[in-house]
Order: sequence, then structure tokens, then C-alpha cells
Amino acid sequence: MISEQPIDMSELLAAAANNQSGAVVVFAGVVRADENDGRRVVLIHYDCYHLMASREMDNLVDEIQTASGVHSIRAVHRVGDVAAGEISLGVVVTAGHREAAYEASRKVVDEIKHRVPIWKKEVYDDGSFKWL
Amino acid sequence: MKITVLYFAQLKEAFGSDRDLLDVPAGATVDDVVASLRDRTEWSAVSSLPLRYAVNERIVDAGTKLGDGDRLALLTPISGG
Repeated sequence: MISEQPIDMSELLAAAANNQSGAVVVFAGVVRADENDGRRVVLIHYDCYHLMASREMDNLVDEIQTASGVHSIRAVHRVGDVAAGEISLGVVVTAGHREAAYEASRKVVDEIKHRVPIWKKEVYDDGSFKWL
Repeated sequence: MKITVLYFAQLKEAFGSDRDLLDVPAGATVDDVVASLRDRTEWSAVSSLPLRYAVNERIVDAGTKLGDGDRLALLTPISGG
């Protein structure tokens, strides 16, 4: 799922709640206030090809859920301006056991970075910016 | 035939727009369209960026023939997460 709204991890977690999954892995990717060449990151602007990104997110979640056998995967990528300290990517995986949940969570994040057409631009405290 | 070319990130900024509606000859390929864009002065700002292409949200190669109404997206290296 692609969203322009802040990601509420407790909402994602609540949506995944059930009494069959012995493991729930929660991952939140957060914008870091990195310093580059004396400039500090204040926000990341995420641009996105919505139609394709939504499709790719759905496809990769389906593929990983089928291949891994985990119970559920919920993944949300925020787009637009995301301030340092805010969440840009939220993933919640439920599974019978922790190994499968950890592995599926890691794979979801890796595949999003490789497949989903989203671009980020670091915006610095001096007003300059850089596409990554 | 008419196609829509979609721009994102650096390309959107360089062209000052997220899309162009182009009239191209029947049988035109992705490469033909990209070659015509390279003639624009704005292209110099993004000429060093590697590109991939998607037609109607599916990744294709540069030799792919376009059809009327297609959406051709020019994709610079992605960086989500």
C-alpha cells in the first residue's frame, strides 16, 4: 500500500492481531537526520509512480506470503514529504514461528527497495537537496 | 497515435512537468520516443542518468513497439525504503 498519510504502526499491528500466530515481526523504516557535507537532513521527499508502485507492492507481498507460508504481511510505504524521525515504511508480518516472520519481513523490505518505483530526495537544513 | 510519457523525480524536475502527451508515428518504439526527447535542451540535466522503461506499468526494453493510448514511463534508478 502507498500512502501520503503518516504511518500508524499500532494500527498496522492491531489489524494483524490474531490468536494463531506465534510470531509478529514489526519493522519501521525511519528517516534519519544524517549529516552530509555539513548539511543536516530535515526531510525526505518521496516521489512515486502510484499505479505501478501499488501493483508492485501487492505483487511482492503476495509472492513472499505464498513462498514463505507466513500468515499475513502488511506493508505501507509513505510518499510525499517525510520529516526526519518519521516513519517512511511500515511492515508487519505474522507467522507461526519467528524464523519465518523475520525472514519474510527482511525480504519484503529488500524487494520494495529493488522493485517499487519510488524515488527519494534528501532535503537539507540549508534548503538544498539531492536525489538519491 | 497518441501516447503519454510519464516523468518522475529528476526527470519531472528537469522537464517541469510529470507528463507529456505526444503524437508519434504508428510503429514507434520506446527508443524512438526517447531519442526525440534527447533533442530537448532540458535533457542535458538528466542525460547521465541510467533509464529503464515501463509501458502501462510493465517493465519493457527499448525496442518495444508502442500502441495508441500507451503510458510510457521513464524510470531512473529507484530508491524507496
